[in-house]
Amino acid sequence: MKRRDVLGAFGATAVMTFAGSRARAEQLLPFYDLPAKYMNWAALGTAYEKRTGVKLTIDLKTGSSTALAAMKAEVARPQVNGAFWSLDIAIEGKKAGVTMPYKPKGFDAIPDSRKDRDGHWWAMSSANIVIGANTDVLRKHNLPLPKTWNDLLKPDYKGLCGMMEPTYSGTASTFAYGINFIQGGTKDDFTPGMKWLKAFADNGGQYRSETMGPRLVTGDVGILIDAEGNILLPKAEGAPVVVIAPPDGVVAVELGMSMMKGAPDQERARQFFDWLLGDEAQSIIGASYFRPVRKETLPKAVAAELGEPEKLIPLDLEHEAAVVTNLKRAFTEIVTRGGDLADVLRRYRLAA
Amino acid sequence: MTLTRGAAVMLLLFLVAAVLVPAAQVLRTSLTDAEGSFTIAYYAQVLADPYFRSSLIGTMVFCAATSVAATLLALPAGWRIGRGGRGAVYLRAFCQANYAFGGIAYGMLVVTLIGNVGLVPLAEHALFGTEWTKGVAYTVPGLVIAYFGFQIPRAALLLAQAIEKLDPRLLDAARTLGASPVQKTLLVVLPLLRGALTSTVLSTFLISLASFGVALLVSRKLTIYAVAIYKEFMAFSEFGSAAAMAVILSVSAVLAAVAARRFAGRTDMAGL
Repeated sequence: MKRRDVLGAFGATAVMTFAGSRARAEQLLPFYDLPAKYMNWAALGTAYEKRTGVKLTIDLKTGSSTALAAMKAEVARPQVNGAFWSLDIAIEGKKAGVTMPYKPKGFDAIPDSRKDRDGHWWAMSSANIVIGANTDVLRKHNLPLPKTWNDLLKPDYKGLCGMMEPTYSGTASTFAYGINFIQGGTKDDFTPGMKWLKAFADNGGQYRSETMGPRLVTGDVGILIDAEGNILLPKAEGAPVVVIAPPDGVVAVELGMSMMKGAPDQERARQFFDWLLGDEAQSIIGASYFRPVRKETLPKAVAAELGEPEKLIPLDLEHEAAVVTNLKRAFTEIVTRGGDLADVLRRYRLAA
Repeated sequence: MTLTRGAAVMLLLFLVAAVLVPAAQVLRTSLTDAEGSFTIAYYAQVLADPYFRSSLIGTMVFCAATSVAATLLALPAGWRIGRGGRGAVYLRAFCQANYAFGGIAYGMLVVTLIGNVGLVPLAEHALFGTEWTKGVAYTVPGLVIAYFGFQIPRAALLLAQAIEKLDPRLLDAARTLGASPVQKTLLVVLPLLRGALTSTVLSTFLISLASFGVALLVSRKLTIYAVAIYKEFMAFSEFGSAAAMAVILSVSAVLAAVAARRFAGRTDMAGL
């Protein structure tokens, strides 16, 4: 083989790879982050591909915060068209300058508190954050279902509980924020919430880096704190899991979309955003036991199964967004690294 | 000749594009503040932080200790692969297959085996009714097992290469002179393999330092430095300190390699 041939072979391979990726790229519409097993993005992706031939990127990252980090790093050369994330992180995204405005069809029907006036983010659905339990695991340990959040701190449930890392996942960061109000804390004092999060870890509760719904189904964790739909959908499919909405209070995570600033494929991104608020997508979301922002699309049977919690504690999204980064920092220093609770909270101005 | 030179140029270009350019980018990020001017603040901050410091030291110690242990544990397998004999082919294939389980996939494998509902604890519960192995994946011994899982096969392959090249006449001579198998191993084989052992420990150590997926999924008690870097970058978007930590890890790895080489006092270490 002559050198020319070798170089030629290299060149041909490069051209073919490039051409191949172009062809694929035309059908692919990249977003951060559409997890297959969260809000049933697997079903949403399949339905959208069937309707339009456009393939979505399922399972690129692990959470809202990781999506935001990637978008910050890529803002000069955007690699994705937008993000699906919890709205506290979306507000951070707007502040960080990684989003651009768009008002999809159906934007006007979204309540003002659940969208950005300029269209940098808008709600698509919400989900109550609840306790999921694997009944097989609990039966094996002869344990009753937990009833309250504080039950999870009892030695009976030691080592059985898990949830996602608040530093990665928007659902988990919303819970880390919300548990403070469930436990009697205030916007000026996050001591009660942080104490709970630390006690959870001290009782063997795990903060994990992967999507956790499937872990509850297999019994890797016996008890999971997660969005209700991630537990109710497997339940409907026959998994031995149940949902408990503790009467001492439940918070909801607001989920929505944003368009990435300088998105490479804005035309098709807009079509996708429009579709997500339309009847088809909204009813898939409902059928997956998440609460669609257009409430009328929620199937009656699902509405009955979802029910309404005894005490839903409303969260102040703007405030949550303003403190969530410090809260994640404080969480890491206190819970992961064993720092002094009062000192750290004071340093991040989360307690007096 | 020209073909070789062409290939060398290609390789060089590839190295520049795939390694040096990104590395320079990381270095630049670690030395540039938000306003775009030069700073060493990220290094100062990361090195002053007791948590990051203990994570770095813990990671180095953990990787060094497991690499030494894994290399010693890999000797019998490496011997069998290198000297041939029954099962050598399968053993080699098994060790090579290990390369297929990179990063996250390997972490998943560990969770599947010794997680809370891993195959091992399930079997244990069915056979003995106990739950000793439940959730071992998330403990430090579990992390050791997980690291051994990729360290031992790779170390065995590296050792096998050196063992293949051992002069069989030396071994025969030892036997003829009446050395027992233990004497033969301690007085002939191990001294002959000294260089190979050191370089295997070192290679395994460097592979372990770079390993990330396993630790991301299972490391709970010990904060592996690569995971700490990931968290700074992905969870907090602290690109400057994440980059500084990456540089610190790389420099520590190089320093450790140089120190180990000095310590071994040999220049014939393959691959380094």
